[in-house]
Amino acid sequence: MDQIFQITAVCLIGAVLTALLRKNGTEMALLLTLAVAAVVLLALGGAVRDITDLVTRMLHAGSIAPELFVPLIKTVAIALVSRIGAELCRDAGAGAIAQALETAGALCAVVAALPLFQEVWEMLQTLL
Amino acid sequence: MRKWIILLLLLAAIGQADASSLPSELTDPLPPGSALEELEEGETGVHTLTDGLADLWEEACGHLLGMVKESVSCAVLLLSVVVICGLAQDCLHAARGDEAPGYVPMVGALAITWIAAGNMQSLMGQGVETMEQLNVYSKALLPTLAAAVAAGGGVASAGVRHVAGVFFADVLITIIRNVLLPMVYVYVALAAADAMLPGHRLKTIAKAISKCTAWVLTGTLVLYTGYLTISGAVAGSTDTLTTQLTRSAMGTVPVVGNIISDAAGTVLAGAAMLKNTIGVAGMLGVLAMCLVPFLRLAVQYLLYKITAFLAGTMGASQLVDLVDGLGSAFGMVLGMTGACALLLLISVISSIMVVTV
Repeated sequence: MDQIFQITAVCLIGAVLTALLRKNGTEMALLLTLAVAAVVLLALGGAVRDITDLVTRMLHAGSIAPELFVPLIKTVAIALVSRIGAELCRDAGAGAIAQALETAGALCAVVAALPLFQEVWEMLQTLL
Repeated sequence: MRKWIILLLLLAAIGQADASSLPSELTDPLPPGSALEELEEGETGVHTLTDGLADLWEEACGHLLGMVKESVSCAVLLLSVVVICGLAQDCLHAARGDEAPGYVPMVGALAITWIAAGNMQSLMGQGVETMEQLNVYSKALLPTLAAAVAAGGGVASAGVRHVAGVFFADVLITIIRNVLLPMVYVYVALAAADAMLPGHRLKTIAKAISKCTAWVLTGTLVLYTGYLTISGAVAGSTDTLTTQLTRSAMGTVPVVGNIISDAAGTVLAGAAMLKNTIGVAGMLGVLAMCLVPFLRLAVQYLLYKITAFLAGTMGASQLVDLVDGLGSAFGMVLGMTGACALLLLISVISSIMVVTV
């Protein structure tokens, strides 16, 4: 609960400072945006680790193969990272780089999901 | 002298109508571990239909909790995949305000298909095995029942019912094995592909497959029931007339005519009792064979539908539709197993309902 207040406070301060710095030049504003985003993501690291530990314990308890959930978690993480990175690039006015980053994110997500895709394909082949 | 002859004929009739021992052809095809152990051992001396149904109900209640526990873990997995993808989509949607990237629900669909496919293979295999067992059982039950109906005076009815029962059972099993079951697998593949691709155009093909399956099963049963009703009415009147004429003709024989006619009536009544006993045993055998697989499929179907309902409150619509579609696939196999069992039950009940004495 306290963490979200802290993160909100950091983001608001960062947004205000970015607005002020933008008047003098977008480079400093962009660097500040990057720093704030990095701080927020690092702050969330503890929460993500707790969730991952819980999910891992549940998977072991249910004897569930990691091949099922690991690609899914990786895909979600890739999607979040590429989306945030693309938004930062758009803030810097580099729309084309943002688009390239999103495309790279999609391809990396597909590559991460390939083992799952192969398992499902083999299973459907046996059914059909 | 007359009284001794009547007594001897009555004793012969009682021996004919001894329904306490069923033919082994009815009890042998029952699979090991089927719900009615008393039926396998042939102990049906005091077993009425109500007793048999009560036994089946107890068996069903005993199995139900275990099946629900087995299936709940799968439902929880499906729900967790939908929740994770739903949360991710919400985060991504909030980040930019437009639609989240399509590869997140695509991977979710792959995970759901993988969880469900293993389950599906084993349960569909069980459904197919049950249908094959019903087919084998029908080959023992229908001729035995036809013989009992014929012994009770329903010669024409027995012939019509036996031929129709065997024919329609074969046709239904062949259609299910060669057409409907492959269509279910195609349905599952289409539902999975539709969840991954944009546009969702494959959903209409999947719905068409589902409707087609329901029409084929319903149509076969309606045709069979209609044929039995029409041909049974004609054959039944023929049998009744034949029996009455025969008894009247026997009654005209001098001295012993009435004795023979009365004795024939007793024998026919005994044969009718035997027919009813075989019919009840056959019905209970069919229900016993279907009980466990039917319950398993029904539990799986209901849990998938409940999961889809719960996921609909928090997940991506394509994943919810996929879970719902997988539940419908289980429903289709359930329908096929039910149709085979219902066809046999209709055959048995229509044979029991034949009245000629």
